[in-house]
Amino acid sequence: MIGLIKDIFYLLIILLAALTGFSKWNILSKAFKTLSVLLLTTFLFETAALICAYVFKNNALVYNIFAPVELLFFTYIFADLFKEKVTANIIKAAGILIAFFIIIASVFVLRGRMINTLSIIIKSTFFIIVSLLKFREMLGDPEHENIVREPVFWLCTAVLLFFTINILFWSSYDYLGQTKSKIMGSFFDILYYSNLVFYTMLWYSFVVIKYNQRQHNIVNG
Amino acid sequence: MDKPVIYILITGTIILILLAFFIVGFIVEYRRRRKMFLAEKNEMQNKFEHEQLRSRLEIQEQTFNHISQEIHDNIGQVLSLVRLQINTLGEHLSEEKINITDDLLGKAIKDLRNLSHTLSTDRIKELGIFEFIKQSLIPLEKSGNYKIVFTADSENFTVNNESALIIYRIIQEVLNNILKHAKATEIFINLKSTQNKNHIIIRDNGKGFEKSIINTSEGIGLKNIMARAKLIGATLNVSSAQGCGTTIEIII
Repeated sequence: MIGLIKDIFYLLIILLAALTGFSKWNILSKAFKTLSVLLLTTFLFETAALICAYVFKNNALVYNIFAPVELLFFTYIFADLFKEKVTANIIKAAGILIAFFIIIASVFVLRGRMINTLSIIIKSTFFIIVSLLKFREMLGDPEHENIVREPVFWLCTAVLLFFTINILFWSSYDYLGQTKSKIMGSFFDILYYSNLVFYTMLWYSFVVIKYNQRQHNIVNG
Repeated sequence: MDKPVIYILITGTIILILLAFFIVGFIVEYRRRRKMFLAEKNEMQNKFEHEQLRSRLEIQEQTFNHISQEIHDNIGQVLSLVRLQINTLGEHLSEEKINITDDLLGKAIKDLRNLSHTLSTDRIKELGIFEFIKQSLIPLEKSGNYKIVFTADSENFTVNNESALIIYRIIQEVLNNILKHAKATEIFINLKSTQNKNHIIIRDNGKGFEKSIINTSEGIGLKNIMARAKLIGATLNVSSAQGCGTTIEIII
């Protein structure tokens, strides 16, 4: 029962983040509009995953479908955030390549029945690099008066933290799953809370978007 | 708990602590760079205002020189002639002499009116940059030493008054360089606009110069032009070679 409440709470946080995004739709930049759509998609996938977990006791298939979708969304979001067109194009190309790899691995190797941990690690590494590059770009052009009030800062921080924890978790998942199944519960708790923190940060990135930012978006296309 | 699990936990904790330090470090560094960025911006603004003031003073000085020359060479001469005419009138009033005197006085009045226009400090605002440049080229053309071709895309080439003043000073500086060093007979000036960018192209058929000269004391004029261009966010392209003339392009 507690597990179900935790899952529903988690879904509500994602839904809240998505709705906050949609409520500010008119003043959002292209990247954050895409993020709103991604959050709604995430909500739908996570709901499907929850139902599959309770009904079929296996939701790997849902996550195997969701992984490339999420990857492509985030690739598009980050490519749009970069001012340098070359970097944006490299990110797009790399994102599509990794998505292709994930699909091949999920469909032909794991047949959709198991969690594709290698793909998750590759995807996480990719987003850690991309978020660090964005941090670097922000340092090179300190145009914002208060960086902590900038949505891009919260998006990058969320991505960096979440995907780092993802790497730590999934790189030890196979070992712990096979030998120390008793402590896996605690590790899943860490993953659960890191997910909560991630979506809360994404929600906050929408909260800090000011209405006067519209002008900024229009000016910057 | 087993050793591998402890290792995993310790590694994870260390990495997360490092990430937290990274985020805090980023915010601190960002704020430091922001301060530097603002200081640089202020400095640029100050430089721009200083340059604007200097340009105004230079134009004012040129205007005064022009007025002094006009009074001495033109109006003074005309009025002297009027005086001579009046002195030679005597008792018999000749209609011809009166007409000549009248014409001379009319010319003096016209010249004075022109001079009063020249005195206006906001002439660039009144005339617009194209007309202002055109008028400043007239004496150069009148000298007979140069063939000057001035073309401008007045529909698309738009700049604010502050930048217009600096652009005018840049063109003047380039022309000074041509007069002093180039030994040119033809000067082409073109103001055009393409893809949201303004281009000012000044070309001469003079002796040209080696690009290495830019970094020497002889290249001070060009350095001034570069400094002025930087103030209005413009870039400067110089193409020249010995005996092949010079083309200077300013892109805003």
